[in-house]
Amino acid sequence: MSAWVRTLGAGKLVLLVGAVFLSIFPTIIALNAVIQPPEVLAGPQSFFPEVFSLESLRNAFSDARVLGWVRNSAIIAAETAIVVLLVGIPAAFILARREFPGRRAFLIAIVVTQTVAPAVLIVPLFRMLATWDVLDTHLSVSIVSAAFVLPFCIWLMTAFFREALSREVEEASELDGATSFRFLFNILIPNSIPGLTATGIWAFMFGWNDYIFSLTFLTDPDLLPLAIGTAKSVGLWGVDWGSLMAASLIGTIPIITMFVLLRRPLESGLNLTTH
Amino acid sequence: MKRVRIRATVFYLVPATALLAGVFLIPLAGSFTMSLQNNAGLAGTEGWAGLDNYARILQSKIFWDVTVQTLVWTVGVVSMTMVVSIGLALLLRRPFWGRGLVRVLLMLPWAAALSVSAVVWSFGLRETGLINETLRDVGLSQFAQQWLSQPPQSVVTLILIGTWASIPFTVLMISAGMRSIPAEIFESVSLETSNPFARDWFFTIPLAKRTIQITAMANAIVIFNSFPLINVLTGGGPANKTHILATFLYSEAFRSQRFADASAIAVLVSLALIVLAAAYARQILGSPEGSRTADVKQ
Repeated sequence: MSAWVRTLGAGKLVLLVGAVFLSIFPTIIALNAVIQPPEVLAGPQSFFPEVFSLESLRNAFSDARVLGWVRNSAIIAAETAIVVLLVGIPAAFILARREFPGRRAFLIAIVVTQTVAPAVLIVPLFRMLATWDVLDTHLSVSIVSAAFVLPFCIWLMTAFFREALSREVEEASELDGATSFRFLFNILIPNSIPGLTATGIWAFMFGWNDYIFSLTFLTDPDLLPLAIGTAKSVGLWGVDWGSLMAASLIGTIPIITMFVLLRRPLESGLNLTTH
Repeated sequence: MKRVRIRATVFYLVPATALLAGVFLIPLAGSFTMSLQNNAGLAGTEGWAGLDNYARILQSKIFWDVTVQTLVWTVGVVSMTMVVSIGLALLLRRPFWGRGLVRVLLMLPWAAALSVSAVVWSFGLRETGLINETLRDVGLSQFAQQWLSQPPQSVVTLILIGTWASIPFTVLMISAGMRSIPAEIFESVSLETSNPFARDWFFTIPLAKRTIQITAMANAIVIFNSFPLINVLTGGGPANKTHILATFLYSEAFRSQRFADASAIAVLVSLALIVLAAAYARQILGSPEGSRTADVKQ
């Protein structure tokens, strides 16, 4: 403690501790709830509960509904990541390593689409999917989510691809007779695995955390992801807060783990693109 | 970089272009078309209404109330987020034991789904929730209140939670901007002034100005359009007092089945955002910070 006071100063230390506390406050609320018996959660809450029980956690893990939410979130997130990588890698490759007419226009389009909000397009998107009769499918949510996260991911992968290999390596591979297709798959992609993993995790998180598309496109309760399932339960009469808090924790732990893994490659990606 | 034949380029760009056009351009045109048609309940829209929808919306009190609320929300969240984040980025500049862990903990609000965080906040903010009960326990019971269900407080509560959610991304960006200040400059400045506040105020912040501007713009765009927090915490209520344009148009469409009105609002919002988006694109593409793009949360 005293070492911190020395390096930071008491005032700064207080500010940092306060910031960290506020940052993790919802996590504390949820943890505080799941260590109490479900029936006391409707009553007054305290940081120092008097009775303990892990019943809420046990309930959540044996609740088919909660497990279904987790499974659906995982499906939507994985599909989002796959679509982003399939569609984004070729585009990022061309943007990173080729000069072509319209390149700048494409870059502008990519930045501008990042400023478009889902809410602005949700009505026509809903109508379009209804016309094609693909509402109530995970893939409809995944593809639309993928499109919304794609611009940022292309931007990120462009930076990774630009840095992965020198121009000389590419020229050498051309002298060997490699087509650009083979250069991309045999040389560039294998040399960009950390960056591509970071991008994939980013897209996965985006799909996992999606709210508005799942809310709008999915009505079948069996298809709902965690982000919707928990939120929809709040307004219900006699809401089971214990299960909800447990579900929130269960749904957040994998994403936090991924985030911790992602942080360094992502930061290096952000830094790369500044040069 | 190597120039290539157009045909080869097209081949690589087709999938991305098709996906972006299908999800952005076609629906944008759809919004515009629907905004010129009549409402037809669950069926959506039919027939042509000319500019009637726009006229009706622009004359309605609620639209202007919600517009003002949107501006209050956006300015409130963005300004608080920027001030707190610049402070935190400065605090995190110097290494100290445990800094890595502190950074990870400060990122948590960003990693978790906004709707899930909102569920947890709404539990903590209940009448007998952890926040009110703690205030009562420490003798501050006059501050215990209806955080989300009464108009003046509910707006403030939302702005505070919106700030809570926006800080991590902003700190990450500003920290990166401050890191790119060359060490020599930083050291020579540290020799010039012994007062760390003067150093930060006159040197560090101005040197990171460009990143700060870009991040503020990115935040403004995202916050203006935010949806999940408000939709889960208050649903725009009580009495529409916490609606912003994004949540209002959603409820016009999917609760009131007024798809044409919702589309007209969407078009008006898009027009307003084009100005912001153009300025943002100019900043991004014209600066080395280029790739630190922003729209990474909904």
